[in-house]
Amino acid sequence: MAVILKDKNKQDQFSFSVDKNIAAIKSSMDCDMDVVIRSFRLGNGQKAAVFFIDNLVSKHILGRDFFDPLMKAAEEDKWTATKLKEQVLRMGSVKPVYTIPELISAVLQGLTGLLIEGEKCALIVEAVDWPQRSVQEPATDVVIRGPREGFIESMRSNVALLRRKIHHVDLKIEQVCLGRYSQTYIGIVYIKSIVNKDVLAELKQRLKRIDIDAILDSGYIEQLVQDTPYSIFPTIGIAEKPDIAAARILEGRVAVLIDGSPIVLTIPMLFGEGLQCSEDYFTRFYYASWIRIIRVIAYFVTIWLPAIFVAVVSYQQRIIPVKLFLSMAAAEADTPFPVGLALLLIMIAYEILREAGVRLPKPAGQAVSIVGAIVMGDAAVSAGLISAPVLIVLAITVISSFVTTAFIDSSTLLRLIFLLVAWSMGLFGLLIASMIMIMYLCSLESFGVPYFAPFAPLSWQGLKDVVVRFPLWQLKFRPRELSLNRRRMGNHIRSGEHQ
Amino acid sequence: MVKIKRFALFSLILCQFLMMIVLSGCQDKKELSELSIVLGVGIDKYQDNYLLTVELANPEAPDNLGTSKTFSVYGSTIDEAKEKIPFLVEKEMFWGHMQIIAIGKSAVPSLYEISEYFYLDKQTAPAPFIVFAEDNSAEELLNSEFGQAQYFSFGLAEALKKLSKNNVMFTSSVGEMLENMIDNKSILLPVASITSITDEESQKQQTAITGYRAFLCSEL
Repeated sequence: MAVILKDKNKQDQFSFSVDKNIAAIKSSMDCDMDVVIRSFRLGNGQKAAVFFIDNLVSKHILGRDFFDPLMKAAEEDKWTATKLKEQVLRMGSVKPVYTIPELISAVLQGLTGLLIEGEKCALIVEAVDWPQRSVQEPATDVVIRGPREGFIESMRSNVALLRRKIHHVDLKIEQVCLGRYSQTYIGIVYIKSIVNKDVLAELKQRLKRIDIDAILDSGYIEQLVQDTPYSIFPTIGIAEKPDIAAARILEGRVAVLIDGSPIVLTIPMLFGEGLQCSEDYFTRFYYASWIRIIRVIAYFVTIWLPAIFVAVVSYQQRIIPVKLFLSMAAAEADTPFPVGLALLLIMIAYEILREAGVRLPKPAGQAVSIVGAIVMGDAAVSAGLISAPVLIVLAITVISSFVTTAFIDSSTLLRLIFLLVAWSMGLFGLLIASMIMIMYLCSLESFGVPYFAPFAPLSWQGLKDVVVRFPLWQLKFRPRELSLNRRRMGNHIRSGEHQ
Repeated sequence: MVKIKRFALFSLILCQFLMMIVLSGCQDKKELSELSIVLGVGIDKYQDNYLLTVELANPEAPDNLGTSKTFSVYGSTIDEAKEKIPFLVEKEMFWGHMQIIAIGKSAVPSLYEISEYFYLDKQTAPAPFIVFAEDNSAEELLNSEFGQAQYFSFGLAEALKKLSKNNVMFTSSVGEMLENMIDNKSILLPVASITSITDEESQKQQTAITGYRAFLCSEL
């Protein structure tokens, strides 16, 4: 974890003199405007110095629990680090460091260093206080019923949110530091007695191999550790809410928290995860199953509907009912573009509008959406550039894509691929392309776990919680692929059988 | 083992990709706006020549299904007549949604040849309704109107479908009719005739389903 500023040698060791130590620190790093190194004397006149980064520490806490007791500490002739830690400092977390690079690294992370005359070590105390967002409901994964708190950019807060969900002693949080310059803390969270040890070992191995300037978001880690970097399917899950992350950890997955990112990665990911939502488990299983089925339909609609429409309209006109065929022919009569090209153009126009709407400030984004809707929805049809059925197909496709948010990136690309295949090769081409997609899905792995489980390899137990959601008392086992300790509940008595 | 698996997967995907390119027919692509949709066919026979009348849908605007046009051509065979129609229209003919085959009185003796032709012709829809134009020619029938339907053939087919579904009327497809003829059984065809009523707006005559006509195979 330590920052290696220079090779570890004698110069890295502390000397007994505070002044020499300050000089050593100053020679190791350029002291910028926000670096504070201040000398002062303890209550007994002994020389000391404090070293911290301005705006990363709470001056209120420092004044009350650090300077005040230190400057009043006159009981001893000579204070040692151990005595100060045990008798004077009021902070919860105080620990010694024995090299200058260790001290600098800790201070750069927001901790405060205390140098004491006559001691060949420094004390690190925690008085961190930096600007951070409060815990809010995330923009995605919004629920009607269920917890609303979401992760924030501070890893410590995120760990606390997870701890509040899982109080067990087996919940382990390991910390590594990655990024040559960013020195970002990465938290690996799992439950010792449940986790798949092979997955955990593989994750640690892959994290160890990362050598990059900076880790600015969880996306960096996701791309650097995934099994198939060229796959369009996500093979690492993401969670924006502690209840979702906790549920996945409880299934045997490992959560990776990245300091500075409100997105927590969960490893490994199964394809079926994209069809699940936290609210499925908070509502009655009939409704949850129905919604799951709707999500599966929506996923197929979003990737296949434009392709099927183009294939049927351009190649297999005989399977369209006559009445619909006549009204579609009437709609297409005056449009200048072939159906496939019209759909492709309107899809590109939609992607441009979506991108513009997302990046712009909210009020401007809404204006873009309205203009886009009017231009695309009304003017284009009135001007005869595209037909109304094409627009309806696009609208259904786009709305369906928002149902399975985990696959929104991959489904956008798949939709485009399938559309081109169907336009050039009809339903037959679409069938073959779909077979290739399914074969590819079956071949994918996420940290050694088959991505398409429980469909391939087939697991009846696993199927209880993918397309439908069985009653909670029947979900007795964790997914076979995720944990060797599979049983997650006792012989639960169903409600109604208590009498 | 992993290498073998990868090789197998790659080979499979390659095979599928080749199949996709080789077997799919992009030459079969037809744009909706480039199709002339045949909704009905009428067949009369004059001096050993067939008069083939086709009703083509002419869809125009999204809020209007459009109107139909009829074209009549002579040919010594149905196929010859059918091949002449593309010379009369600018778009490609689409026979996949043909709803009605109207048989004129003069064409009844050739009923077997007609049904055999349409049964074997893969371009046409599998099960169009067959109606017998007893009091008029098939050409006249296709040039008339059926109720308030925009397309004569579509309106007539819908009416026959409804009557058949409610067990009010018996209808038979080309295949069933051919089967009966091969088995030397009698065949029963719905009869459509032009009534005296004329539509005021279009000045077109109205057609109605008037009953049945039974044919003994020995008559044909």
